[in-house]
Amino acid sequence: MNGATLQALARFIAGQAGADRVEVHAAQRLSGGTIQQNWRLQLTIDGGPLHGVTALVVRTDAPSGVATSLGRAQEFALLSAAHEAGVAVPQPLWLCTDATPLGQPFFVMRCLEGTAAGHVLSRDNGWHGDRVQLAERLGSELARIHTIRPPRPDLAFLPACEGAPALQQITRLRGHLDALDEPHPALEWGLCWLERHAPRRADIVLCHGDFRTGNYLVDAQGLTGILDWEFAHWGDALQDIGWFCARCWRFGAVEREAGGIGARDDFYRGYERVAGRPLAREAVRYWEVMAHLSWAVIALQQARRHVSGEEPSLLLALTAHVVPELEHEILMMTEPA
Amino acid sequence: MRDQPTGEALLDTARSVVLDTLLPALPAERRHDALMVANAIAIALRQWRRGSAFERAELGALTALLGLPPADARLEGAALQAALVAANRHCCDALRTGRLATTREAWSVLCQAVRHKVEESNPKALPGGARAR
Repeated sequence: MNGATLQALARFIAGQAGADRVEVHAAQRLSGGTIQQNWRLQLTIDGGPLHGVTALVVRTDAPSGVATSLGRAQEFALLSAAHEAGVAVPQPLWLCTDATPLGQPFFVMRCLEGTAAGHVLSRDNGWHGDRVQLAERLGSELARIHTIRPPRPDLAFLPACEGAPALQQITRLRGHLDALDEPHPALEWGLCWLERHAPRRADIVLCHGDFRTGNYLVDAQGLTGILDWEFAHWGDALQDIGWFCARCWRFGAVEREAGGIGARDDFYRGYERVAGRPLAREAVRYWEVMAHLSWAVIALQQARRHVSGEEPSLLLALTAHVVPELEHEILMMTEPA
Repeated sequence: MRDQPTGEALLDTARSVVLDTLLPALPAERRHDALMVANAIAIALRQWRRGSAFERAELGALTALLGLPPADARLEGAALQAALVAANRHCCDALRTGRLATTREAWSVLCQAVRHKVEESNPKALPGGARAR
């Protein structure tokens, strides 16, 4: 961000915050994410309710969009709903959909401290906090997210979930594969399995859609906030649980079945405490297979951006080479009797 | 006759320079780029070294599974790739429509093909050959 942009952001924040004066000293691009950009602003706010605040975060778009991710206005609404439900999220402050000051929609939120780096949190020596407590807390937060149920006028942009969420997701994934027009028999095999074993429609809840290690912040004491709401949708709660526990999202710490950071039982316990009912634990495995299918299709879409020349990027190119191990895991989990 | 070192050895040496010389000297925010370059070279080298024998085997296994006419064993290059794409497409269609039953035989053919890809893209994802599920 250049000086003119920072000044324009300062004026925007001053207007929104009712401050006498705002000065933005620097903007630091935060690491992580190929779909959105997060910028930490170092600033001085004089006057108004946010007097004395020295850091805020601006969230805006990056070029690598994925077909199904939500826009910033919608993500702002989701963050607001989650904050209201008591979920640990950065407090969303202001949304801007004008062409100025950034030329594209953005929102400003409170800055939370911590790391989201999955490869750090999953290593034995990467984080020395209480893993039992972290896994339980993550379960509790997910259960809180799942207390948000349709209908919600503030979330009317989310497509209604008609029928069985699993069958809907299978149809979506087949559509994405057809659009890519390249053959992946292992993924077709997985989709056949998912269709044969699809669960009936259960209670429909707000699913985070990308609840996994890498999308929450942790400091030395534990969880500080849940991030990245652009894949939120109405669906089956077990979809989020399967995504979090899926082997592909354990950052190599495969024995820590809860997100690569802790034990599955601790995560479930935290969830069940807030949900007030036991989880259908035997049903989670289905959604772990679904998680591998979904991530494989997303990875293929990302790789296509590089291969087509739309966005030459070594990161996107290497994303294609994640797909074989996802296909392998799908086959291992769906071995015929 | 090509002079030594040829392409494969050059890439090996280049990868070593990235990991042993550049990576320790780079600022923290550029380290990930260097690791990605090293990883990309490693994948390319594994693909180069394996050649296309397993692709011919995959084509043979797919055509047998699908009851298609046997493929020409001498296919190579673009022709081999085109035949593989066609066979894989046929397999996808057959699975989607139910013409190919989801038997252990079909599963084994898919596993074999996928395992070869994992061995090239990320062999660490296949620890020791025996997996805990």
